[in-house]
Amino acid sequence: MTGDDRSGSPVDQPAAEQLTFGPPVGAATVPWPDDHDRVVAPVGVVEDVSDEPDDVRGGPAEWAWVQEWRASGERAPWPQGVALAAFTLIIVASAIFVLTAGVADTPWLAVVLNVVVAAGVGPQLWLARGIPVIRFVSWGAALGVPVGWLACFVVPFPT
Amino acid sequence: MSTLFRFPNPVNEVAARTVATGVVVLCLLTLVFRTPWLLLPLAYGFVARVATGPTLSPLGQLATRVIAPRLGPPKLVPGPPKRFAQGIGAVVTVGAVVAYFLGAPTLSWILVGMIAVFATLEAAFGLCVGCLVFGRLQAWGVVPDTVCEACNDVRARYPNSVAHSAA
Repeated sequence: MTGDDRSGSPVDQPAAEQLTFGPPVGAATVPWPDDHDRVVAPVGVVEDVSDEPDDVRGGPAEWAWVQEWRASGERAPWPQGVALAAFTLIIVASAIFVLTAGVADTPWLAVVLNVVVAAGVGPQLWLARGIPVIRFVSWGAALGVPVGWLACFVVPFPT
Repeated sequence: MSTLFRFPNPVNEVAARTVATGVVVLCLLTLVFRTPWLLLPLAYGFVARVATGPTLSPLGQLATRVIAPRLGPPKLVPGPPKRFAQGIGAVVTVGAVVAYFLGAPTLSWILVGMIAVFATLEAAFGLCVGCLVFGRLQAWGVVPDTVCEACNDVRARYPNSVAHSAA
């Protein structure tokens, strides 16, 4: 958020996947292992990356950084990642519980709201499931929704 | 005057996370004790940091001059995304102040709760959600690449990648 004004490299160089998350790369020249200095197409232009998983295949070049990350073979920071997923789980489950408790007097509305929320976040979580760092948030939120529902049945609503 | 209203670039992320920790503490105190006057230093801190970096922010000064140097070597990251994130925080916290004094304290507490969640992500996990938004805006062309050229150099982030070694 703030920092001292030191000279040096604009970014440090991590040895592993960081939980500090950099913006995705835009249109840029990306050297490729078997295709020297391939020019990546501008954002929005579909590329042929048929050996990539579904979430990257056919995607715009702005996701080239995800391909680079996968090619790097960096180890996942599991302790921090699981902690991040757990934090997200707690926040999402709490939000689901509070949302449901707020309209508990009208059960049909509570059900409809929960369905809307789940249908809204579901596709986002699915798309984010393989993206560095964000995947931990995705996994935590995906668990947090059913945990929140379970809490609605187990924990009495505040009166 | 122009030197006053500038944001450091690059930013020491250790200091940034220290500031975020202070924000979390301030938010929790505000929420636990329901003390509306704490909204004022919270909002002032964000406005001061987005305008001048740590210069006019007591929390920023404490983080950059006292705490962060004792937590190890600086970890440099691009400044513009951090400034953008501070801007979001400023809007939300000023919104919380306005909401409270316009008679909507519940909205105010919700906004402070949101700040607490996102500041916790930054403080505990180094996950700057405002920086994510900045990155998307840059990828979409809303933010010009010239604002943060370092943000676009993916090879700087993944030096061990095959692509980097081939460069």
